[in-house]
Amino acid sequence: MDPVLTSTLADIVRNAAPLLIASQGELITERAGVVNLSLDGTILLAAMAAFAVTYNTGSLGMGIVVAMLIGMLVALIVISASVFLKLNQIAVGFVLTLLCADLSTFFGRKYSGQQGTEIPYAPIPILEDIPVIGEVFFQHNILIYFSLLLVIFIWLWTYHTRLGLSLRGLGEHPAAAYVRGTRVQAWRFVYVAAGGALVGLAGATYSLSVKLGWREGSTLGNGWIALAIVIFGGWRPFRIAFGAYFIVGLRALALYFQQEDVLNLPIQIINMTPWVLMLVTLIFVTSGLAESLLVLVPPRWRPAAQNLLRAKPPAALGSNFERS
Amino acid sequence: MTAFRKILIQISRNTVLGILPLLVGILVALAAILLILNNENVELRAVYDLIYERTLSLPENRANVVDFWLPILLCCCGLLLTFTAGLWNIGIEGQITMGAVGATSIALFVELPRNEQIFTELFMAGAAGGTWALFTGIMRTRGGVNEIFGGVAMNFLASSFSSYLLVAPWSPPNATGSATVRFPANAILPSMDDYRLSPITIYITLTAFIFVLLTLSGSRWGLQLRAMGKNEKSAQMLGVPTERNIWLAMLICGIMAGLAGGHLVLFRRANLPANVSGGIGFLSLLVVLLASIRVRWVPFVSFAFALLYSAGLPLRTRLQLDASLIGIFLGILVFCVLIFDGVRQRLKERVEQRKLLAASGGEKSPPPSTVEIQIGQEASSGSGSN
Repeated sequence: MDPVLTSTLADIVRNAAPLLIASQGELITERAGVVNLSLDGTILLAAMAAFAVTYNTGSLGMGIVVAMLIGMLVALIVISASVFLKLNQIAVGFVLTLLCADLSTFFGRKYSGQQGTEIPYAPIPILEDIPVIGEVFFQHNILIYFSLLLVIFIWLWTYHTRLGLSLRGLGEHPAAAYVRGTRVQAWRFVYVAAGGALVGLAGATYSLSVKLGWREGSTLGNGWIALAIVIFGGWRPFRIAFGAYFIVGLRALALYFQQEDVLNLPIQIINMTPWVLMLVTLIFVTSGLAESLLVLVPPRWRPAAQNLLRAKPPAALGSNFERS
Repeated sequence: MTAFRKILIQISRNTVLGILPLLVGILVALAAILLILNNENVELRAVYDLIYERTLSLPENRANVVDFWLPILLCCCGLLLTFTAGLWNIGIEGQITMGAVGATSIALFVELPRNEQIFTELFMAGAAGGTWALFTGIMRTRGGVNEIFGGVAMNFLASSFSSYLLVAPWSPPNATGSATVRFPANAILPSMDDYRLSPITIYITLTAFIFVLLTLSGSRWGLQLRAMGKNEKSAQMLGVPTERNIWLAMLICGIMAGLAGGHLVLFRRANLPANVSGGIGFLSLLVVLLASIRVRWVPFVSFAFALLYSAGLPLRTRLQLDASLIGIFLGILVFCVLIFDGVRQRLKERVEQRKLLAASGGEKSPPPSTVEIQIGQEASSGSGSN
């Protein structure tokens, strides 16, 4: 394979890691029936905090832990406000995203443009030597491998464990889950905290691995993209992973076109392409247009295709559950 | 006790309880800012003095605050309609940007007599903002794309499009793509003699506010929007034309945001800069959230926000503090108000439950059952979902 293409694919795997981690975090949050809209601000704040802590202490582990704690804390605020005060999850999430973004700007100004530490490169012996696949998947650092394993883990957890079944129950029909003996609120807190921690980890992945260092607004917009990818992916781990790679792949393509002067289009126009394509795909998948085209698929393959194109949100998403 | 006194006590109790979350929110936000300032070795008094000096001390500074306030209030007016209908028009930043682009397209390339020129520019600003918002509305109703994500995407598209115009077709010779050339004098909105304020923008904003006030408080359409905000599906079942109302609310909000964008380029800047909206759309969303969709509060809250925001730049130059400090203060304030308003509501509910229990002679409630409480609009329409 062309070495340029192989290295581009490896770049896509690396650059998509934070989006992948954040969107998988939001996936489990939404599967538990809670919308955490604070992703964009949380990723910014976590990225800044991870860099600042690592810069000051020299400990990468500490930076990552602090970023995850920040993500967890913000997510817990969203669910606590919803559960205890019955506040609108969207409103709280939106205010928190703006607040976290401003906090990252204010406290991060000392670290802007500073040289920091990077997560060490850790190729996996033997596997790294496999032609093409080795370079694309096994010549990265530990956070990138984690992002790949996370997709498989969340898929297994959600669809192949008893706890995963109860997770889906929390988002689809909490009352039924409660009757079956699931402690709805407690488990929602657990999943939202875990999802928030992953969002925080996504921030750390940006500042310590993908976009090294900190600069004001350096990850701005990626939280919103992660939220959109969850819808694009129909609340399914592998489709979400595909969405993350698709978006990052488009960005890489735009950069390639610009460098090679292939299309002779300004970068601003090329930058619009992922958003246009995402909107078109969202409309295609969520409007039912895709399903109406299923008649063109041979009947034998129709159920599988229907399942693939399905994009139904958890039925109780955004709602609060209360015993009375 | 006379009935009149009872009513007076009730009114004053309701007012106090209504304002309490705001007061607590201000106190908590101030305490947080105090902590931050202490950490930065800056006195609160110095910040206060600077804000006062740059905003209220001189007539021209006061006029500057009002000039900053008008587009925010205009955006808030539009957002009141969409919020009442349960729509999160996060795409308002993009609508402001497109309004500014629309106005610029006329200001730079069309030459008409003064009045026609201004009218055409403002018309284009409103049309561009309105169309941009309408896209989001159509995507919501026909494409199943939630307005939050549709709006975010439209924001990015508007921002990229405006950047493209600045670096390519509208870029002045030998420029870096940060702004267009200054508009000709004929294209700029007229100013008052004594203060640098645009009477046209004042009239537009005043008209918009009265329109929204009357619409929401005393019209059939306002009632329909309220019903949709409570539960869109139920409203639809009761015969409310929800799709048409969503389009109309988004369109009007977009027009108002577009006009705000038009004001920014046709008066405040006299050219089209990069990032023209400067976050005033999100600021307006915070205002409407803080005012909890109470129309009468919005002008005061938006003025307070404008006053604080217009003092942001001097903070950086004079006290080496980042302008984001104001954003932190406002963020904490809105967050605390939301939280304490939630606390107040829950306490009120608990008191009412106790009263009911006492009235029923202390009988216990029926055996436990599970109920689901739908929070806001997103529950019925599937927020963050499609």
